[in-house]
This record gives sequence, structure tokens and C-alpha cells, in this order.
Amino acid sequence: MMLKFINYSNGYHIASFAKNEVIFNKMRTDGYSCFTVQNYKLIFFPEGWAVDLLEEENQALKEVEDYSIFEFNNGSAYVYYNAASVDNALFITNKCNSNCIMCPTSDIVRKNSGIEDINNLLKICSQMPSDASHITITGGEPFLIKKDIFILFKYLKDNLNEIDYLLLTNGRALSDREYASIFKETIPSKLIVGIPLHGYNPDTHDGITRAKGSFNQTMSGLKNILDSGTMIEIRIVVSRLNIGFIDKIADLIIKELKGIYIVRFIGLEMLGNARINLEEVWIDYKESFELIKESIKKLVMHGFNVGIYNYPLCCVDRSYWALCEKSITDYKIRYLEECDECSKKDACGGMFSGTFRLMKGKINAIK
Amino acid sequence: MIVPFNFKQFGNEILLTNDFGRYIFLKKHEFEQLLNKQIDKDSKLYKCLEENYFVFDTSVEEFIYSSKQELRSGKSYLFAATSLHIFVVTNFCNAECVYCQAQSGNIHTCKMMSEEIAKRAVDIALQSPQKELTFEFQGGEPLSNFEIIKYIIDYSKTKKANKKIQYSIVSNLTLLTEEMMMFFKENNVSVSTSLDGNCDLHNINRPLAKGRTSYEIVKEKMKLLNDNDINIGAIQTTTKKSLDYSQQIIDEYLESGLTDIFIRPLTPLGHALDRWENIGYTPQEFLVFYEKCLRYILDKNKEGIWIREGHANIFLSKIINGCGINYMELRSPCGAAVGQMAYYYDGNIFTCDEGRMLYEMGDDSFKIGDVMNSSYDTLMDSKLCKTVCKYSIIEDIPQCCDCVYQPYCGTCPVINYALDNDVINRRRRSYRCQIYKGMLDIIFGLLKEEEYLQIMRRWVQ
Ligand code: SF4
Ligand code: SF4
Repeated sequence: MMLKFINYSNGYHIASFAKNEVIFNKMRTDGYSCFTVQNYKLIFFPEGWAVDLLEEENQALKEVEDYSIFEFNNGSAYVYYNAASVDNALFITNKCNSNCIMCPTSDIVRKNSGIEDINNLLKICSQMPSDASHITITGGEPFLIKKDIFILFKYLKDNLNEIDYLLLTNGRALSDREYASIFKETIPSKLIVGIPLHGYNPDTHDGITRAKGSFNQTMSGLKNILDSGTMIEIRIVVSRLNIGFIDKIADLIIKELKGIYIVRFIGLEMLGNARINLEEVWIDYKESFELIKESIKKLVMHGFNVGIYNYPLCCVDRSYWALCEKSITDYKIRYLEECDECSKKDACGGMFSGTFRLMKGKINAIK
Repeated sequence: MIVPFNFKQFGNEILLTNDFGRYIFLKKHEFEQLLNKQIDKDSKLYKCLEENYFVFDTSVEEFIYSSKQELRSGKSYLFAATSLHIFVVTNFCNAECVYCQAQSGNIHTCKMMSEEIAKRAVDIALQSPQKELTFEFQGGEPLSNFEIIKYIIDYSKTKKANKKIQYSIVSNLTLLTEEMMMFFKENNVSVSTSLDGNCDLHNINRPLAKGRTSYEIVKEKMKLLNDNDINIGAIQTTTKKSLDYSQQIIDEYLESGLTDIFIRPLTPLGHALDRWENIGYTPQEFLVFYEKCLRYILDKNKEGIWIREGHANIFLSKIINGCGINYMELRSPCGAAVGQMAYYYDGNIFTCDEGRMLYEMGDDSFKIGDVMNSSYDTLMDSKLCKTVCKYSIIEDIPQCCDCVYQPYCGTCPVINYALDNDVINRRRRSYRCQIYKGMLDIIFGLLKEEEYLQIMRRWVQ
């Protein structure tokens, strides 16, 4: 969430928001960098800055919860940590060492992105409430911040160990034994590592990531951490590109990745690269489910935990509904007109704002 | 839509419970309105039913989605592997308690667990994938084999890697020495002893061999342990004699500085069964006693004195917090093998403490393996493990499946088998069932009194 503060001109700054005096005072005694609103002014502690507010800026702040963390830049602020949300992110970079054909981030954004400074990340973490419910550590590829990532993990483990984390990475960095072993030592206890598998061998996987050697690196990364009890989530993004060999990926998991925590099948979000390569990538959720359901069954029969993400219920056989999760972030959820007739709308996770139009005509409301 | 529930007449109201462990009392006309779907959706009653998962307006799928966490926390013990490991380090005992089950057996010579058996037992216990483990030392009187206790603790500490182990010992304390105490202190071993009541009662129930008495010794040693900051708890066993002493028993606990008391009925097995005439009672007699105790305890709390009763506490955790506790006999399925395991001094492994007691009475039906040939995996994979698990799921057992107390109760296949030669209890109102049903009647009755409700809420917070 981005908010405008036309009169703010003190440059880059991180501060927590307090709605009222009482909380503001508490934050001050707890040593937070914080700010509040008094008489149409933003008041910052400990800097003492006073910044004039416009009426609509003041209104916008009314929607924000105490303890939300803002990243100010001249003229605006980004709500980095939203205290009202059940899922927040620690965002490391948009850069990536792979170049997937169906990446929801476009080439340009990835190329031009910087890497977050570790000190900013630590500052934000130091102001994060310890009862935050879920935090996704994500990129791009978070490991591009190099060994600094372990400083972050260690900080989270020492100070915010009760939070559930999901780390999204392609896992290639973990093929390095030294990285893998520091990783095991530093991560907080309730961290799940989400690693995508796009194919079942170097050809099929690297063809999609367009990064030579990535399959071998990801596999050895997985094996390096498999024995440590780390919770691993294998993510299979199902697209036209890999629909032909999903079953072989399932076989690979059954044969070589016993002990992982869960396999998640992930429906497409058609943004960025995925959009540009629409013809090659897009497969509608219904067709896609039909082609993966046997593999899902096979994994379940072999004792694997399976989850189905981003598939609307009407595209999934009823007997698989228990595996479906409402996975789309609330502000991105869209429904089609037909959905108004649907008796399961409240249980359906809907579709992505950037994708739902592609499902026009393919959705059948459940009576 | 109405969610499946169990119910029964409770005074002039009807008590309803569901799979989430939630409960509600309804007046007769409200109950009829519920069944006929006539309750006004804006009414307070409807909101209350909805909050407690008795009704819902969403699709079934959404209801399942939004309630599954609740169901999970009620059965949280199912997401854990075997956590309680009991090491029976000897069968020797220097006491002759009137209700001891073991004595009636014919294994009466004194036998001690050897180092080799101890080592192998620890290895198996550490194979449990569970991260937090409890190692409990029992006997006979375990302190008579202190060397092995020391060995097990030292050895497991070198082998435990990233596991956390809590050690505890169940002892009559008579053999406790300074050296042992220092060792317990160093290794954070908690101690659980038996305290049956005041001096008279305790000495009648728990005489030492050769006619000596144990009360003074226990009291003195408890004080020593307390002075040394060693965590000490006590359990009580009710005999016919105890029935008249409810207040004295609790006062004795308070005087000893104990803030938890576990009022336990006798199990009519072995030695206790042989003497039932002298020490036993009917379930009704026990329940009158239990209610007196519980009311007295609650009244103490009213006066600002903090003390809790163990059974009530286990039930209340589920009733009030929806949170299932890993107490072996009050979970479904029961904790045999999947929640606890007992390693006997001779190397035989049993599904649970009750299983080994049966063995001491001469029946090895619940022997699940032995330390020489078994591994954690083979134990879990054994037919016996599956049998005790399957036949202790009370959601499935006739009588229990539609009993209003099913969400809070449990069954014990070992005791069923010992009493009736069948792992499933097929008797209409068995001794155990009458006791639990009666306890829950008492607890739900007390929950209706606002002042008691507040106290019981505090117990489980
Ligand atoms: S019709 Fe719409 S609301 Fe219903 S399952 Fe399909 S996508 Fe979801
Ligand atoms: S044992 Fe008795 S009280 Fe417990 S659930 Fe079964 S029938 Fe109900």
C-alpha cells in the first residue's frame, strides 16, 4: 500500500505508526522510531520533525492500524508492514538469477531492481510486533543479498522466533554446502522453505527457468537441507510449459524427496513475463486440473501432504476440494458474473485480478 | 445448517456438545426450535450457537475451511509422535501399599534394569521423531536402582542431539539421599510422589515393608526437595478409608505447599481387586467424595487460595479452551504406543504403563516388542499398536459415540481387556464409564454457577 505525503521531504526513513497519544508514548518508551498525527501534522520521534498533512492524507491514515511500519521517501510512504493484514512480506530484491518464462515479474522490473540494504531490513524487523501472524520472505531471489541473509535469519530466530515464515527461493544457493549449513543453523524454527520444481530433469527444468544448471543446483540444494528437519514446500507452477510431464515430476518427488513437508500445485497468475508469453504459458484452470489430478492422487497415496493453490473450486473435482486453499491475497481476488449464482462462492478462493478475464466462459457456477 | 451434536437431559435443561468440544445448555423449547430451524437468526441465542459451531449459514465447504483449525487443536496430540517414555528401572519396592496392582503377580523377586537394556531403551526412545520428550522413571521403587537412572540421564544427554528431554521420577521418596537430590537438581529432574492424605490415612494406605510407616518420611523429604527448589508434585489415590476425609486430604496438600491435587479413583485390578471388599467402593460413593473435594477446592479458590484439581483441569482444558491434552486415558485414540511407551526392566516393551502392570499380573498381551529386536518404526508398525489405536477411538465405540461427554472422554483398551477379556468395553455402564460420566456431570453442574465458572476459567488460562 502506497500513501502520498506531499509535504514530506526528509528523505528515506523508517517509522512505526501510532494512531493516538497513548500508543505513541508507549512506542517512545520502547525506543521505536515512530510517528503520529497531531493537528493535521505528522510528528516524528525521535527526530522531532513536523510535516503538514492534507485532508485526504489525514483520511487515508485513519484506515491504518497501530504498529504498521512505513518506509518514507520524499512525497510518499510505502506501508511495508501492515498490522491489519495476516500476511506481510520481507522483500529482499526483484532481481533473480533465473529467468522463468512464466515469471509474474517482468524482465525490466527484475533487471532494474536494487537489493535491499540489510540494515534497513534489520531496522524494519526491530519494529515488527512479535505476534505477527505470517511473514513471507521473498524476492526475486532472496539469496542474491548473499550472506547478509543469514544475519537476517539469525535476527528473526533470536528475536521473532514465534512467527510463521515462508521463504520463497529457487534454492540454487543452497547447493553450496557452506550456505546450506549456515542456513540450517540460522533459520527461525517455524520457517517453511518454498522451492519450485518446474521439470523432472535438467532439460525440462532449465528449459523453463532459462538458466543452465539450475535443475542440478536446485536438486542438490534440496538434498542438502532435507535431512535437517527443515520444513520444505515443493511448489509446482502448472502451465502449458510443463503440463505434459507433471506426472514425471511427481515420480521424482516420490523417489528422491521423501521427507518434504508439502507439495503445492500452483495455478498461474498471468502477469509480467507470463503475460508476454501468454500463448506458450497459459492453460486454463479446468483443463490444467484434469491433467494433474492423477499425479495429485499418486502423491497423496504415497503419503505426501498436497495443497492446491489458486484454482477456483468449480475447476476442481469435489473429492479434491479438501486440498484447495484460499490462496489469493484479498485485494487481488476477483470473481466473474457467473459466480454470483454459485452456492460455493464463500468457500472458493476466487481468481487473480490480472487473470480472471481469461476464464470468461469457462466457469460454471456450482448450484 | 445444523452441525451434528450429542445431547442429554441435564436437570431441566438439555446439554449439547459437538466435535469441537463446545457445549451449550438449552431450554426445552429452544431445543425444539433448533431442531425445527425456527430460531431467529438475529437473536442472541442464534449467535451463540453459531459461535460455538452448532449452526452455520455458509456453504459446507466454507464451514469446514473456517472450523478446521478448531478441530485440529482439539486433537493436537495426533500431530505428535510418542513423547512419554517410561523406564521401569526395577520391580523392587520397599512399600506395601494396599492398592498396588503389581503385588498380586508372581514375579516377586527383586530385579533391576541393566545398563545394556537401559542403553537400548534410550536408543529406541530417541528414535521417536518427536522433538520434546519426557523420560519418566518408575518401579517398583525406582530410587532402589538410582545408578541406572543416572546412567539413562547421562547417556541420553550425550545422544539427544537437538531434542529436548524432561526427566521426572515417580517415587515414594523413602530412599532419597542427599546425593540423589543434588543430581536431580543439577539435571532438572522433577519428582512426583504419592500423598494420600493426612497422617492416619496415608499410613493406612501406604505402609512400608515390615510394618513401618511412611507419612513422616514423605513429609520430611518433600520439604527437603522444596528447600532445594526441585519441582515436586503429588498424586492421591482414593480408598474406602479416604471417602470420609475429603477436606483433610486437601488441607494436607495445602499445608505441604502443593497447588495441584489429582483425585484418582482405584482401578479394580490385581491386588486392589483381591481386597475390593476392604478398600473398594461403588462409583456413586466415589462421586460423592469427588464432588465434596472439588467444591472444597473451588471454595478455597474463592478465598483466594490457588489450588487446582487434575481431572477437572484436563476436562476443562477441552471444555473451555477447546484444547486437547495428551493425558493418555482421556484422549481419543488413547495414548498407548502413539503417545507413550513403557520399557520394562527385563527389556520387554509395552504399549503403556497399564500394559506393563498387566504383565506384572502375569499377562503379556500388551507387550509390543523388546529392546533387543525392536526399533521405533517396527513398534509403530506392529499389529498391537494399530489395534489399541483403532479400538480406543471413542467416536467409533458403541455407547460412547452418541454420549454427550464423548468429546472430553477416552477409553483404556488395556483395562477393558483386563476386566472383560475384550479391548472394547461392551458393558452398558462400566465402572470407568460411570466414574467419568459422573465427574463430568459434576463439572458441568458447577460450570453453571458463575462464580465457579470464573475460577475454572482461570485454571486453564
Ligand atoms: S463459479 Fe466462481 S465462485 Fe463458484 S467456484 Fe467457480 S470461480 Fe469460484
Ligand atoms: S466412557 Fe462413558 S462417559 Fe465416556 S464417552 Fe463413553 S459412554 Fe460417555
